[in-house]
Amino acid sequence: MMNKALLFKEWIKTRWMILLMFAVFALAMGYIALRISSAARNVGMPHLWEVFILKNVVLLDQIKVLPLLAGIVMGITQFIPEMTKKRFKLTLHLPLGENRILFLMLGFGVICLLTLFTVSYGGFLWGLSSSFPREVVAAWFSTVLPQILCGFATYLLTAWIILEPVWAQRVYNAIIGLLLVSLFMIQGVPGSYVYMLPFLYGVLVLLAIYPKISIKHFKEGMQ
Amino acid sequence: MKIKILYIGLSIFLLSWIIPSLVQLTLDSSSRYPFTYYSSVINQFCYIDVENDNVQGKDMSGKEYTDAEFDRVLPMFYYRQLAMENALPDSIQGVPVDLHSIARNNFFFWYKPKDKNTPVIELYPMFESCSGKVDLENPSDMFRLKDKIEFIDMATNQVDEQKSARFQQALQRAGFTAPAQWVAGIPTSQKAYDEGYFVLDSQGRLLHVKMTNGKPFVKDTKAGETINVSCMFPMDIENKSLYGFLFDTNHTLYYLSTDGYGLVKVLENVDPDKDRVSIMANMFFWTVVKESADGEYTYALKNENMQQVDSLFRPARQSQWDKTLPYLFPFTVNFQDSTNSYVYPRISGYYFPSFGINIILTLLTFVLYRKEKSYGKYLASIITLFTGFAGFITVCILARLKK
Amino acid sequence: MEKVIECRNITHYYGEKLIYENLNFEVEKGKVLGLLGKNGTGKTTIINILNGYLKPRSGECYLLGENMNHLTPATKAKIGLLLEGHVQHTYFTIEQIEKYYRAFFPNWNRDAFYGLMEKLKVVPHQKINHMSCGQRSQVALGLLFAQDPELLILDDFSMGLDPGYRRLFVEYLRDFASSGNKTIFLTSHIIQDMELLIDDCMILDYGRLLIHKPTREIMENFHRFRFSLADGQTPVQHESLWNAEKNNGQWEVYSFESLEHVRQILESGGASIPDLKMESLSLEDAFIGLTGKY
Repeated sequence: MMNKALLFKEWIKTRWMILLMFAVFALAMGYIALRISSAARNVGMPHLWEVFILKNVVLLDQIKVLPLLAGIVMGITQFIPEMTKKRFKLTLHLPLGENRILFLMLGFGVICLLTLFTVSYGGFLWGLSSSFPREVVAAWFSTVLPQILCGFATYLLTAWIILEPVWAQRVYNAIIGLLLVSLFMIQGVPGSYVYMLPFLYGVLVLLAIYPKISIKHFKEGMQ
Repeated sequence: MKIKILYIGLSIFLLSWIIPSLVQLTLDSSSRYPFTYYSSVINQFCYIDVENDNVQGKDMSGKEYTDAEFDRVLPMFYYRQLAMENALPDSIQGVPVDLHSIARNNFFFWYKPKDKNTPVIELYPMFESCSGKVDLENPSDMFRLKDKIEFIDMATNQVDEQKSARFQQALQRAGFTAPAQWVAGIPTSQKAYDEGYFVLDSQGRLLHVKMTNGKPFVKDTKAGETINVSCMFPMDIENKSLYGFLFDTNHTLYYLSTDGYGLVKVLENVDPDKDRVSIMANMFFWTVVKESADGEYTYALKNENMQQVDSLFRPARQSQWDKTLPYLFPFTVNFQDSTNSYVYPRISGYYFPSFGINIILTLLTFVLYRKEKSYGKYLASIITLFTGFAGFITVCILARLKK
Repeated sequence: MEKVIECRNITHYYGEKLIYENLNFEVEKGKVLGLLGKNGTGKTTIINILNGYLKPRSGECYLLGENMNHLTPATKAKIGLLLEGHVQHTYFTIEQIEKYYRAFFPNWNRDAFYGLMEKLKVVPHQKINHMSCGQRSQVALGLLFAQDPELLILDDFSMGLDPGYRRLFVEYLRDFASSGNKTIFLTSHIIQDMELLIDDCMILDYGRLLIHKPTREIMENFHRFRFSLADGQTPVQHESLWNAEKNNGQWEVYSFESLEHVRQILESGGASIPDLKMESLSLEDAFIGLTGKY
């Protein structure tokens, strides 16, 4: 009941932005799909297969920053309203444990992003699988997976940075964040991230608990 | 506090990556080994010395050659230039030569560990090997071969069941045992001729698979009976004398001859995961170069029997970076290296000479933390002592330890 | 009596600036305590410390017996908190915010909230964003009444309110306080109307607590004394005389002492004070008498 109410608040804050992001992702996916179908008409499917399979071309790479941006936007829409006029005090004052409040809020954002990414990328790859073999779909998936994980990372980083009340610390967190984000974005052939994934998941777990440091600072009234 | 330690850990990890890589950018200069080729005229290695910004052809005795002389001492390499000057000798090593016979028998093979350690999309075009035409034609399908072979039509994305079944039967007749470990071939129509693919099955059998006149051709090369094949790199060379090069699991390099799939040993002690190999072959000698961490090994092998006739070793020169690194950083983190295409963290160290700087940084930490009364002061100092710059920046700027 | 709020030895600095040293106070159950002080004396700081949103240099606070840094959800449910500036989640509409908070509090009194909203002439699906400051304060107040907490903590509730809203607020709070064992801890820098509400008065000055007394005691015993002195003479300095000041040719001084006692003190300096007059004070005047005008 209380959990639901807290999620209701997050929903009211973010619903229009979430809708907008769905629209942007749908447009982006539509654009890539359109490019593929127009290329298929112009140069023929066999040539596309060659380009995708033998030249390792992954067209989704063109929108690789989209999940990253989605994470930042989600973080901002969710946490900037909490920090304006220190409204977060109201949220922390709710009769819920602090950890529960934090993880419900972060969980909400993560689930929204997960839904966004699953629907858009999942839909796109499902469509791709009708014209291309599963190896291509798998290669594209393995290419976009780090980019998608990057979206979660930027979301958690944004939350961490916004919740941090000390300005200098915010800057330091942003430096760490930049370095981390670049780890999700190293250019490589499809599949090159396969051994990196456990590390990236680990980073996400760390990032999910770092906001606790910010909340501790917030509660101590550090400036 | 526990979370803060996790934060400090990650920060040190990231800084141990970014700071050394920035320093490396300022210090690193690539040191390359001189180009070396075995001369069929004077029967010794000749090389191009680029010391002191002037390019000079030399032989092992130190004799210097002018450009024109150098072309003539390495006729098998510079034969086009010589042919243009009408200076190509009629015979070398007692064998009559001309532009075409030299060109036909020359080939190059370049190998770097990344060639082996790179993920690929496991779909391949099967060319018609006996099309009777000059140019190879791109097929309308691609095949996958893991548990079984399947040809997928590119226009419809549908499996061609009949063709797949024909090849599957041929594979089974040749003794193929699923699943295939890998498939190696040259998946482009831009090649002189087609010899299809080589497939390593789960039992270590190396099978040759191609399509001739629309029919499957599958043959066990039997190479798997004498060696444990590790990886293979097919070649298309003009004289068609070999199918390609392969490594076994004991770090030996072979070539697979087109003469009854004979396996010919080229070089021992080559680690395909670490060493680079280059082969410059001509009708008399192969100049084989193995570049490993300790230096560059160059061998001259006789073309007909791979007998070693000469060898040369140049120790690796330490770059400015290699020399400085141990004094600056106790350890470094990298996410990519030259031996494979995979991204993942690699930690190198531990470099004890860095303790000189670390101790200074530790004292500095102590000064910066002098007002702190808690145990944070000692923890911060210990962190700096063992992690150097990365730890210092972390505990003194990014994450001050307070009680 | 049961202590609802207990603060022990609170010392706090902002940087090098001392806010208070060894501040101690308690609030008993059922009382309305007003923490009064000029701007910048650390009223909001106390509220933040009480709720665990600021770590003091030293000292501890207990709310309903629990340490401020580790309030359990059950205790938080019993405390209603009004932040400075009536801060609320303004992206909600009236309906949404009621639905939101309803879930958290077992004693939720829906009618209390909507009763107050009816007076506002706003429609239920109006966004709080689009309301005036006074309307927003009513929403914040309505939510607190609906929550029906045992302890109400109000930070500068009168800020930005016009007199009508302020009076309305005070009346609602008085009704609330008298409805049961409710404790209210409030801060204000506007003293007007406050005597209608607060039982106990804590007055903060820069760096220290001036007095902590029942309001009635201040109202009954704290007086302004006016008198004349010959030119060039000044009244004697004494610890029971507050803020002596010359105004329109007459001296004014404030004291808790009786007329006779004040006369004795003033005349102990040798001067004769024939026209000493004692005047009763409003709480606001008393506040100025205690803290001075500047």
